[in-house]
Amino acid sequence: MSFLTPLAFALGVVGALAVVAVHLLTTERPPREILPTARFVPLVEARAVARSRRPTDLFLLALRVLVVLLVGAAFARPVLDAPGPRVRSVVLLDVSGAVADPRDAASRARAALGPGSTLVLFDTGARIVSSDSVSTSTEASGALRPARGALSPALVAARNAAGQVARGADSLRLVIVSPMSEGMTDAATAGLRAIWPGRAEVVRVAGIADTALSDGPELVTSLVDDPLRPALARLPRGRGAHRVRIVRRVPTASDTAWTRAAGHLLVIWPYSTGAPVADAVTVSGAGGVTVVAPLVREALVGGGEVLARWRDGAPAVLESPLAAGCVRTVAIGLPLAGDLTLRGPFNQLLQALLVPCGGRRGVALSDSLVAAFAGVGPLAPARLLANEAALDARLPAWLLALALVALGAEWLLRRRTAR
Amino acid sequence: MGVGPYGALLDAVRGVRWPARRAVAGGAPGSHRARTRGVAPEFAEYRPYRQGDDPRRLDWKLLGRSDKAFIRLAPDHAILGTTFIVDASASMAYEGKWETTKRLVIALAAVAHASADPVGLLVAAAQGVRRLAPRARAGVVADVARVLDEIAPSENAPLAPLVAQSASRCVVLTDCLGDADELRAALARHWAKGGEAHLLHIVARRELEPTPAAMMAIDPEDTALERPLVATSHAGYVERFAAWRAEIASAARRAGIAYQEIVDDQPVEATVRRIVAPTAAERPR
Repeated sequence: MSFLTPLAFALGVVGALAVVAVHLLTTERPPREILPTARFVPLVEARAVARSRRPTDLFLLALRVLVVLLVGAAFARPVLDAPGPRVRSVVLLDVSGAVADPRDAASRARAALGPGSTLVLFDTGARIVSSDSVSTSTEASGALRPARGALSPALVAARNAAGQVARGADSLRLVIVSPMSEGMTDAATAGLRAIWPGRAEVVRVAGIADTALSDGPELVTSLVDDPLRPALARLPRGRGAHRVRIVRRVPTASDTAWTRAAGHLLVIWPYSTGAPVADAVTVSGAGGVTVVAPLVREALVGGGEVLARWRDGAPAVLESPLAAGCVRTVAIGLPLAGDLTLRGPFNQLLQALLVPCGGRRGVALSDSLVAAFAGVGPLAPARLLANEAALDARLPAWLLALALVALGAEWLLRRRTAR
Repeated sequence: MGVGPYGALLDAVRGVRWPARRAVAGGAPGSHRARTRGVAPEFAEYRPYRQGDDPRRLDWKLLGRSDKAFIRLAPDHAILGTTFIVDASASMAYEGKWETTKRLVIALAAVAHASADPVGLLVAAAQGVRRLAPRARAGVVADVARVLDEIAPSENAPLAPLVAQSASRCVVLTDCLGDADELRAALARHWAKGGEAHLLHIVARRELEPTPAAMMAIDPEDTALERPLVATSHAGYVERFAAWRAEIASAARRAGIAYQEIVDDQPVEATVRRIVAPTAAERPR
């Protein structure tokens, strides 16, 4: 049996010691003795503190100590220990498209799992699965993997999973198997991380370097001398898995169908319809690429996540998910003449606009950020994460009932002694 | 029980005399100087012969020389009846107070009886007053011892009314925890009437110096009276008890009463000699 609130039991022990001390240091009336001249004794307090050298009423003392200890144990939220290891793991396995090798990630997660541990698979959402189904779970999710993983729902699921495995354990180990790339955190992540009362262990796996495209972006345009063409030709190529199609017209049904596949990005970038004016556009997020040039503000229809803004804050680029891929609408009209698209800032802007869905998933977080996220110190105490509903509420009730019985016995014994 | 247990004590006080503190009234011949004049060989003064005087008391030589009839007078001696009034209340049973009282009474009775003085006894006990009328016959000391040995102190009985029944010398042995004020007034009246009053205040050593251990002190004559004698009240008790004793002694001496404080652990023989010793004012010059 262990206690979720050992402080209450410690207070009970202190109370029991106090009972023993009071039993030994009793305030009692002095013995009655004949003294004919008693009338000359001044009137003072008739009680004197005396220390019993040899404690009496040991059974009474034992009952009182038992009552105090039982009450302390009842309020200490006792739980009967379940069999199993004292340290158990909650493993968060990233199954998003940001993971380059899901099999390797699964094997690492399996290595982190132990008896009594639990597994949480997460991408944009999170779900608790049985630890022995790690392979099937990861393979099943791999068919349609979102572009990025999100740590916030994973941490929430980890907290819930901890409540189920904490009973009977001393400590809980939080293991995160993920490439830990940018875009996995949001405003709630830090707060949710703080809820976990211990350090985390981050097992970093290879992520997809998606900023480098596997092939050149597919440009669908009717202009032979489209200003984007030379700019796209200058983009780097890599081993990334995501693919980009840029359409300079209204997208068709086939474009939409193509976009639904994992890792596909459809960029709708219409031709410019107006006269360019000097303006500035800035890509949101890390990097903060800003292009200042004669540009045309095109109309933006619909909603989504803002990826870039004009200098007055108006959205310039919107992204909306579509199944496993996403659609990005660009309202930046490019002048047909000039060398804007050949300049460095525009090249950076273009790279930022063509990152995989969900952000720059291929860019790993720095080691210092990951270390800060993991934290230092001991593992999380299981008692702090135990699920309230999983506790056996009958045990404190039984202890209190036993304390009442002992109290009654103490009263009977005291009454009998008084006679 | 006779005087057997007290033999050593009686031997110790043999030869001790207890002179009267002042001239006694005339009466049967005794060892105390009387206020009357007699015909003893010891000359005191002349008095003119009056009709009815015994002609044998005429100083014939003076009559022959001066032709005047004078009678030779000499100091008279008489006996002095002694009554012991003994307090047999419950408080006298404390420690050695009663034993000291018994031995003191028997020793003083023997001293008085040795002077041929009648000795009587009045004991204020719970069962009533035990009396022994003043007598000078042999065996009176044994009677006194027998009566005292039969009594166990208990409860409380007033002493003051017994003073009026006392002989000329009234000796009261008490711890003064009963009717002390009335007793002192009665003894003062007895002294004013020409009697001799002795107040022997019996005190136990443990009353003077109680044990330092805390206790709930109970008055044996009033069990409802309980006082905690603890470290904080110890000094106060000693101070108040001493002040009360000093007041008793002072008031008694002012009233002409011979007051003696007797502690139960003092040797009785020495106490007897202290009691019978005349004061500086009483010593013959």
